[in-house]
Formats: sequence, structure tokens, C-alpha cells
Amino acid sequence: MLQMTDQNRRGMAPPAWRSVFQNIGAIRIVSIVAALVAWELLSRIVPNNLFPGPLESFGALLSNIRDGVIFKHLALTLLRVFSGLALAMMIGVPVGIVMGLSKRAAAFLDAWLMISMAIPSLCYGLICFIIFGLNEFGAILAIALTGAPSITVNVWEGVKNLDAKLMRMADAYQANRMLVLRHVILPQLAPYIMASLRFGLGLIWKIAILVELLGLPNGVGFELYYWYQLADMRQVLAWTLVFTLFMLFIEFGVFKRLETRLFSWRPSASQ
Amino acid sequence: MTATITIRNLHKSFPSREIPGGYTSILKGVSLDVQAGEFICILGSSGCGKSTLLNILAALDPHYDGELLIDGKAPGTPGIKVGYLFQEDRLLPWRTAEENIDFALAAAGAPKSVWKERKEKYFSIAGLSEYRKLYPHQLSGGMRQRLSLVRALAIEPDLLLMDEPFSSLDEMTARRLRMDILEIWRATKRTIVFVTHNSYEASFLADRVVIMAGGVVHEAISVNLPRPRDYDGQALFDMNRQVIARFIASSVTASGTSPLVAVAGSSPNRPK
Repeated sequence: MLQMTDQNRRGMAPPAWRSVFQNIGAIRIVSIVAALVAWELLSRIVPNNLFPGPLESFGALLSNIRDGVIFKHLALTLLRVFSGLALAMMIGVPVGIVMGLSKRAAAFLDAWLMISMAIPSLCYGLICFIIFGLNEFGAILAIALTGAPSITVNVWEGVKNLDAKLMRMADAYQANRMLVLRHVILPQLAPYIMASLRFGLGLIWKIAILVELLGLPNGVGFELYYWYQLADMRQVLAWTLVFTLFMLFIEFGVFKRLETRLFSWRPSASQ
Repeated sequence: MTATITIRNLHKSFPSREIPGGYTSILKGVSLDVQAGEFICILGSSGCGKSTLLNILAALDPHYDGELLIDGKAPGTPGIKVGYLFQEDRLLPWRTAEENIDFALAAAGAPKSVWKERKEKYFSIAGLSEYRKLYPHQLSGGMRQRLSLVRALAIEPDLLLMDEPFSSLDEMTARRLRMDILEIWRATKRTIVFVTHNSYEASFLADRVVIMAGGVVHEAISVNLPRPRDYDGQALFDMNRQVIARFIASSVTASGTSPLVAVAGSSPNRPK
């Protein structure tokens, strides 16, 4: 009988519980639920309610939203993050392009790049605050300096991988610099710029929080530090949730969509 | 317009890989005349300098010695339009079929008012009118090469250069494209310089087969077969045998002067 069952199943739909694991979307939902369950279990194991569970933390988050305190701090943090990212791109992209196009420039700037990547982000924060004082400019500069080197590395890689054969084609058809840049170079760099944006943002979020904690009187980082000093774990987790959720929103709501649109010409991106 | 080409004692060398500071001579005094509207096939094995010659004609390489004139002007002179068909399609994968043609039209400086008409004309000649909105990866290899032919034709070039354009296609597709090329050539009468290492292809296509070996032109064989030619006919088969015999003879002559002989300290080419 047992041997028969597999034979009989051939060509039939798998049972319902199995089909859940064949649906990618369902797997993602199961994974998130599993993370929440693990969080809840962990909070019960840790004694003295030192580690609140998801319900409590989301509760604190909701009450912060109702109070309205969250918006001011989140807006300020976002402002710093995106100004920092913009400044980092303004530094990182041109430097990456120059390094990709000129071997001499690459030989010269390579050491600078390695040094700037080796410096801990906390040090950028400390140095900028000491030089420029505890203000927005110092904060944004520290954020940008932390993000720029990894953006440079990505773009440099992209320029190194430019297709020489397509450049020859453009030359044979006597395309001018603007045409070549728009239709031949930038579309090839787009995936690398996109990757550096994502990577840069991931890095910059974290340093922004650190810089706020270090020397600013507001923002998510400041709030985190404030509740940490009061040893209020509920609020620490609530503020952690705020920017984690926002980060996820940017990744899935903005970047994924942008990617699908930008790379619709690619056979794999549309699937 | 269709162009004449005059080449006199053309020399080209590259920095040597084996001898530091030395130069490897690739073209060693090439001379050739091509009439307006003529279909020339340059036949040679790899390393004989045929692609180098094509690159100089396309103004991709401005460093050479000797004389090379297209309609009496140096390559790259504004106003001389060259259509180039590469071994691979070299289409922009992120642009649709139509946008790829737009790129060439913009590059050639064709006024926007003629774009629509040009595209309609050459898409229809190549039988690609239904595929204008598709991306290159959605087309077959043969269709992509056909599209790059549309790109070369749409700029209405004075001169069409083709660098082994069918060598990466399967034989049946290549056959059809050879027929198409001849049909387009008959209709438009552009001067065509077609580089190949396939003597049968050369005999089928060309008015004259130019045999290159060791960096010089050995001879130009006139193919006096009436057109349209039968690809599988006895006449073409005999012609091919004749071309091969003379090609082998010239390769033997050339073997004493291998193109890879490096001359230490000889002068590099200056830009024109």
C-alpha cells in the first residue's frame, strides 16, 4: 500500500500544506510570522520583563504615533539620512567614474579610498563635531563621509566593466559625448549606481542614528539614547521598530519598484 | 551618395608585446582602389590586417602612415557617413529595436524630420516592421544582425563596412542574410567593403575578392559571374576553387614576411 501511494500521486496536485511552500509569497509571510514568534518566545525567556515582546513594543510604537512625538524625530532623521546620502553620492559617483576611466587616478586614489574605508564611522562623527560643532552640518558631513567610499567602490567597478565593444560601435557611428553618456554609459552604470544607493543607505541609516546619539538634541538616535538612559526597553524597541519599518518601506516600496522600472529591458528583472 | 576609396602604401604598426619599445607591423604598404557602388570582399586569415584596415576606414583608428581617402577626404571628415556591421550585433540591450536606430540617426546627425520615414523604409526592407518595439534580447540572433543592418542603412551611409557579420550565425540564417545584403546593395548601390575568411561567401557576394596576407594586398580577383548568383551552382563552386588556389599561393609567398615580425625601435605611427 505504501509503495502504491507515491505511484498514485504522480501527476496529481501536491497536498494543500505542501503547496504553501511552493508559493514564494507565502514563504515570506511564514518567515515574518516565525520571526515574531521567536521574538515573543525570547521575551518570555528573558527574566524580569527586561525584553518586551512584539505586542508590547508595537503598543509603545502606536502610543508614540498617537502622541505625535514620532513624526518630528523621524522627519529630522530622514532629512539627515537623505542629505547625507545625496552628498555621499555627489562625492562617490564622480570619484568612482574618474577612477574607472583613468588608471593613474585609480593608482593615486586607491590608497585614499582604503584609508577612508578603514576609518570607523564613529571617528568621522567625532572629528566633524569637534571641527564644526554640534550642528546639522557636522552631522550630515560625517554621514556623507562614511557612505561615500563604498559608493565609489561600486561605481568604480561599474566603469571598469563598461563594454568596450559598444563604445567602439558608438565611435563608428560618430556619436558625440552626450549621446554616448546617455545611451551607452549611464545605462551600464545604472545597476551599479542602484546597488551603491542601496548599500549606501543601509550604511548611512546606522551612522545617522549614531551621530544623533553622539551630539544632537533630536532625531531617532537621540530618542533611543534618551530611553536607554531611562532603561525603558519598551521605548528602545519601539524606536528601533520605527526606523526598521521605514527602512523596509524604502527598500520594497521605493527601490524594488524603481529597479523594475529601470531594468525592464532585462530578461530577468521582469520575472 | 556612394563613395570611392583610394588607398596608397598604407602602413600601420602597434607597440610590440614581445619586444619592449618595439613595434609590430600589421599593414605593410596596402594599396587598393574601390569604385563607387562596388562590392569588395577582403579575404584573409586572422592576423593578416583586414580588421585593422576596416578600423582605419571607419576612422576608429586615426594613427597610420600612407594615404587613405574616402571620396578624396580622410576618414572621419564630417560629412562622410559610414555604416558598420560588426561580427556581433552590438545593439544597445537597454533600448528597443526602434530606439537603437534612433541612436544611430542621432549620432549621424540626421534631421529629426526624416527619422520616421527612414525607419519605416529600412525596417520594412529588413522585414522587421512588426518587431520595432521589442528589445534585442527578445529577437533571434539572425534578427538582431538584421537589426544592426537596419542601423547601418538608416543613416544612409556613403560606405558600408562589414566585419565578418555572419560568422557567428548558423549557416541557414547566414545564407538568407547574404541574399538580403545583395538585394539591399542592388537597391541602394552603396559601396560595400566586406571582410571575411570564408572564400565561398566572398565569391558569392563580391565584384572583386581582394586577397590579403602578411599585411599587404596580394591581388584582387574579379568575379565575373552574372547576378543573381546561384549559391549552390557549379559556376560559383568553380570560382571558389580558383579563389582558394590563388589564396593559398599568396599565403605561401607571404609566409616569409610574417605579420608578427617585430622591428625594434622603428617609428610609431603619428596621428593624421
